Amino acid sequence: MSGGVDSSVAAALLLEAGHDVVGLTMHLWSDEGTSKAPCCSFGGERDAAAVAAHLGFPHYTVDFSHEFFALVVKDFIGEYVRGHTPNPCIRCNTFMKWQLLWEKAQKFGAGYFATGHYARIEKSASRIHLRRAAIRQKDQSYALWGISQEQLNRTFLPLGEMSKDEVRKKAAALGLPNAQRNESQEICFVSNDNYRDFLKEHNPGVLEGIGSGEIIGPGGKVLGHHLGFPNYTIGQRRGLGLTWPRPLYVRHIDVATNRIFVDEEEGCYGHAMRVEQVNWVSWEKPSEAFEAEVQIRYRDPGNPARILPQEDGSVSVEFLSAAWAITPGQSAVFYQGDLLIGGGIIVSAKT
Amino acid sequence: MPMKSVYLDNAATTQPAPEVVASMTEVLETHWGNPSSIHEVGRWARVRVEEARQHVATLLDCRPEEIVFTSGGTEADNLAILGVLEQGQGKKTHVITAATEHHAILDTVHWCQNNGFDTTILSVASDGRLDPSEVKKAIQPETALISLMFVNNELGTIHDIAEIGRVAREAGVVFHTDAVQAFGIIPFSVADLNVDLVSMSSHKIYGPKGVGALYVKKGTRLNPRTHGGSQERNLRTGTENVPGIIGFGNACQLCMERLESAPPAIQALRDRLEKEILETIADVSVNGSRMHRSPGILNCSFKGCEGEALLVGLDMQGIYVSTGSACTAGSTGASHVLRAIGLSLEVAQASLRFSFGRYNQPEDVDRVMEVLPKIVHRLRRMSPV
Repeated sequence: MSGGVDSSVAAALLLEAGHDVVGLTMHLWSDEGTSKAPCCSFGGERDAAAVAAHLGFPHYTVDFSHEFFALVVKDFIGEYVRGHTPNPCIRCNTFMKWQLLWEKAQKFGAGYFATGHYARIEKSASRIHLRRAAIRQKDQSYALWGISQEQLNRTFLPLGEMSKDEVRKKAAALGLPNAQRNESQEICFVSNDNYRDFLKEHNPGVLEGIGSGEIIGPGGKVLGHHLGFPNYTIGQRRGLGLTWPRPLYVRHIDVATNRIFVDEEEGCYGHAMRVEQVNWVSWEKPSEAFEAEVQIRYRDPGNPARILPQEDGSVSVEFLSAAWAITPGQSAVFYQGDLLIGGGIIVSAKT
Repeated sequence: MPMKSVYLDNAATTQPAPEVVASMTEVLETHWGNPSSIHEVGRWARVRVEEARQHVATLLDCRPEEIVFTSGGTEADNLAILGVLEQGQGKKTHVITAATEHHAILDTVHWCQNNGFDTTILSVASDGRLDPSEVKKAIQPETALISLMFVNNELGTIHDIAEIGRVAREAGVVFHTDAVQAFGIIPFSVADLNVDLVSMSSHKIYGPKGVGALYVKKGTRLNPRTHGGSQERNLRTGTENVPGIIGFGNACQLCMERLESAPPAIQALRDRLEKEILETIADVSVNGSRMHRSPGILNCSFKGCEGEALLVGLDMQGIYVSTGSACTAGSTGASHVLRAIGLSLEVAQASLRFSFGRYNQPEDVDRVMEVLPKIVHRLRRMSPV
């Protein structure tokens, strides 16, 4: 339970369905050694505890601050230093929630695990299927591609058929103390949504070591200088400080030469990419190539592509029509209809 | 049928005695004045506060004017350490304490270290006890203060405060003891301890939270921590917490009446639980000295189990215990006390603290023994070790 409306309503629905509910909240940030601790966790812990007390089930906060730093924050910093743009929520789901928290829940006596994610789980004869939420706009299945079959088999996602509006109405009807709480779309451990300041604060030496580099425009012309490539992300338009008749976007980050390549919108389309750390969800690992819709960032509507599973477990993706701003570090998730087949991390893109 | 709950976390806090609750309600209704006011309403409040001070002094066996009311044990600890160090600033800049102290002491001493004072943190033996000769060795010409707890809050280990006090007195060093887990719980007279400063807390002895006291032996020089008003001999200014002080005084009175009878009764329950756990459950080790131990506390490690999971399992069955100090609850980091007595991270994290008090009954032990072995068994089956 994050303390937000979604996980609170999920808990309430389980309670109504007659389950023995225990609320767990992860304490993810220890303020030791940091002057500017983000405010995310403490307020959430309090809100979750208030909801549990209101609904009448036990609630515990478990301290995973060290684990969170080791498994999520370090990777977040490391990915930027590799010229990637990470999505820490994916690792948090895979390694924190469905791994450490689920293990902890079992030790606390739980037989099943539930969250307030908007997605649907369906049991078929041979495999547990993960599907997009009934309401496509709220779908969060994209962030759940890392969950194993064993874990899915013990997971409930009570909000999968609901709209946000219904969830809010339910929260209000139950008189939940957090019914009016606003949702945060920001990365929970980065204050003011400013990851650049976060990197500076947590990795000062490395950023200084990288230093400034060239910005290369269409046709190979040096257009200006950047502040160090980790400060940029593929598809970024703002903050480049360039003069050009048409808007320019970051097309490619070259870590080896510390150069950033920018281009006009149509120059930022990619035709293929390589995906690693692949997890097959609703399908067993396929041996043949297949066609699927590939979603390459959280709000991406998806792009038709051919998926070519490789010997080494990675996947090559060839887009049937080019995809815009393929960003290494982000997750690629393969769907057929609303069925989530599998996903992985984008490691490189080809234009 | 709802099951009867079992509260075995009396070292964290105790249920206020019904007599205490009544005394507080009564004073809020009748003598709610400001004790500093000259008129009759104020005078009555003053009378009540001074009565309470007398009750605290009687239980500690000191003079009432040696009692300074504070907001609790933590504030008393801070007043003692910072008050003494500020008083001796310039010449006396060194403070001695031990690794197993409560955070109210350790964090304050760390603050001193970061603010120009010298500190020595003594280590303890594997039974949690401190060797008075180690204290003696640590004393320097600059030593302003020795601060060592009477009874450890996690282990129940009783330190030889009288002997350490003798060492301090011989060296002419001010000696403070955090007696939050001893005052009102085990019988002692402050006169026998050779101490200058003693921290006490109300809510560990069936009084309300938010009130405690510091014993300041006559002649001990201390700088105040608060300014504005002249209450509590200028050492702890601000209008007195009258209902809290009355409740605390009443709690002391009740403890005084039971000072000889309560410890053996509580110890009988603790000893039975310890015996039954050791007989029934394999691979359990008792942490800290079993001989020099507060009567109500049992700290043990259940090999292969997470203390946190045990706590939660018991909580769900209405049995309330702790994995260590309540002030660090929510954190799965191992207890600094258990680490300081040399336990591995794994064994330290496998520990539970049961702490008995006035309102525990023999059936409470039965209930624990009905529930605990099953939880341990379940967790050990899940554990890879």
